[in-house]
Amino acid sequence: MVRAIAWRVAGVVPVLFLVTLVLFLLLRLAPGDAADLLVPDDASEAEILRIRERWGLDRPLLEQYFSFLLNLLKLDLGRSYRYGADVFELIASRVPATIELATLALLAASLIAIPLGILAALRKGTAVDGAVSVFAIAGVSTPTFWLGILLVLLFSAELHLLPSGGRLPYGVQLPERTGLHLVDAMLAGRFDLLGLIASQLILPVMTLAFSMVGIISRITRGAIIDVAQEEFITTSVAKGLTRGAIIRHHLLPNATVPITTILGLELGVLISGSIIVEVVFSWPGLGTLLYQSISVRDIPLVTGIVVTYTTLFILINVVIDVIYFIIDPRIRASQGA
Amino acid sequence: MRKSDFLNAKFIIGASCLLLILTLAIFGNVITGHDPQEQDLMSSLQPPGFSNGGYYLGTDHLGRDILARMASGARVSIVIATAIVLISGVFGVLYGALSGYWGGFRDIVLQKIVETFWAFPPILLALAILAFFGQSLANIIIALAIQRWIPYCRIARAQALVLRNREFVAASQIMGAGTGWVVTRHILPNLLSAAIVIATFSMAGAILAEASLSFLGLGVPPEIPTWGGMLAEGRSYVVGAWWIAVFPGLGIFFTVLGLNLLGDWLRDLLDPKAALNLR
Repeated sequence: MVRAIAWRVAGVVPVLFLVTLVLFLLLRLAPGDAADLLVPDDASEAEILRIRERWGLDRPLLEQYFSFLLNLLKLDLGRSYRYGADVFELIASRVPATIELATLALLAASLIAIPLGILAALRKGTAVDGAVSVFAIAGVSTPTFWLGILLVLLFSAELHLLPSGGRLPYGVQLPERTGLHLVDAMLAGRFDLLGLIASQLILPVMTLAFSMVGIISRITRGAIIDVAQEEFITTSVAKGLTRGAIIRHHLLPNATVPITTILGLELGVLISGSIIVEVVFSWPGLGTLLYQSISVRDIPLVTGIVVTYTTLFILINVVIDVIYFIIDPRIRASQGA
Repeated sequence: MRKSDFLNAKFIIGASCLLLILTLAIFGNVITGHDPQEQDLMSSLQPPGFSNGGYYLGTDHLGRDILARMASGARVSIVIATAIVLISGVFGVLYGALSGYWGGFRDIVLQKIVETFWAFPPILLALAILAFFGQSLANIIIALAIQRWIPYCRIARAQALVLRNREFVAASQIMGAGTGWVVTRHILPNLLSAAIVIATFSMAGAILAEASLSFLGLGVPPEIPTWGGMLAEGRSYVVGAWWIAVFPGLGIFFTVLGLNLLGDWLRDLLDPKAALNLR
């Protein structure tokens, strides 16, 4: 098993290599001089020269790519010219906010969708099942940003129940350690702040979770129905096991693999969705930073953020594959572990 | 409820949604009589109704007619999404069919490229392209097509891998048929129903993605009215003027819902897995 996992992890290297190559080629294909893209409009001649040197723009294409790659490996893409700060320091300061939002949304979506999917499968063909299907298709058809605006309109503007955006109310101070506000508040013993932090989180988390609930519940339903048709289920029925025992000991454990798969597939939705949700709710994460950097064409920062998201995406996919190895003995066996 | 009833319900609701949007796109500007760009600051933020100077769906903060802007938004969305689906579909099918038919080293290289494009999270590569190349209609189409060809490529390659070893393909090769002939006469016809199903879902995704990018102000240039752009511009005025946010959102919702329902219906009807005979 260890060998199979190691092999999967090693497979990431060539993919990352190719991904950076694509980004580099896109950067070079962009109209205009690459040096002009990499400096602000009002840059001096000396600054342009420095950038040429730094990105190796006066050398052959292949060498340029390697200096780009080397800079990436050193986590050094220079300074963002909008914020004047180091690109990767800036990114690191924004990542926790995004992680907090995305994990909570995935958690909320799974907690709602998986039981819903199981219920729909066990009550296949009934009104409950139909309602889950309708909800699922409505979920994937609703634009995230529209839902966000409507929720703000209802819960903030009309009912005055929840804040319309931001991460902390104005003037509230919180010592940052992990950058995850809920965790930081607990570490600092400020349990009084938990409610405030949670109220800021509810609307963005709900908005982001909504688009995922539909798909997760539908695939869970399909997975359960597939497993229910297996012969070992027939055997356990014949053996006289109770319905509850069959569901708990045979049906659910065997449905975990396909359910893990969708959680992995939903990762893409989670990333693209979180960018939009962050913008709608002025959530100070990586998505908002990307949005702002694109609006002012801060190319070093855009490049850094795209690399960060893509690396995270690829790595989490590996983690999901490793989870397969652990939860599914069949995959383990077929890999000759 | 019998299964066929449910299928019909999918078709009827899906087709009605799309019909509604098509009517809006074609006749919207005839119904209102206002120009989508025409500003009338005297009647800004008018609520929807029949007694406010012909602004049936109300006006935005600049006094522009929401209905007229909805109609042009519908046309822009449909045109862009159709272009994306056509380009990605044709490219993906040909790429996959050739890759599978050739096999060997060329297949490995071509599939490495597929894997690379697939490694980017959705939308992100599109955002990078728009950031590097700037905003224009052509760029948004390229940006959104750049990952959408992969599903077509997958099915086309799988189909080609199976068919290239069949006797009728060998017979055709013996009679002197070249790659072009085999791909267009033997492989492509077998893919049609699967490609149509993918295209329907992909169109729904393309409309959502275009709307999201336009909402972020990174998609269609702002002077062209789009549903996403209307939501972005009207965002600060929605408190007290709900119609600014509700109507464009409904436009996107009905289009995407209609396409998703039709896609589901087509998938059941054409049963692409059976049609592909991948075994």
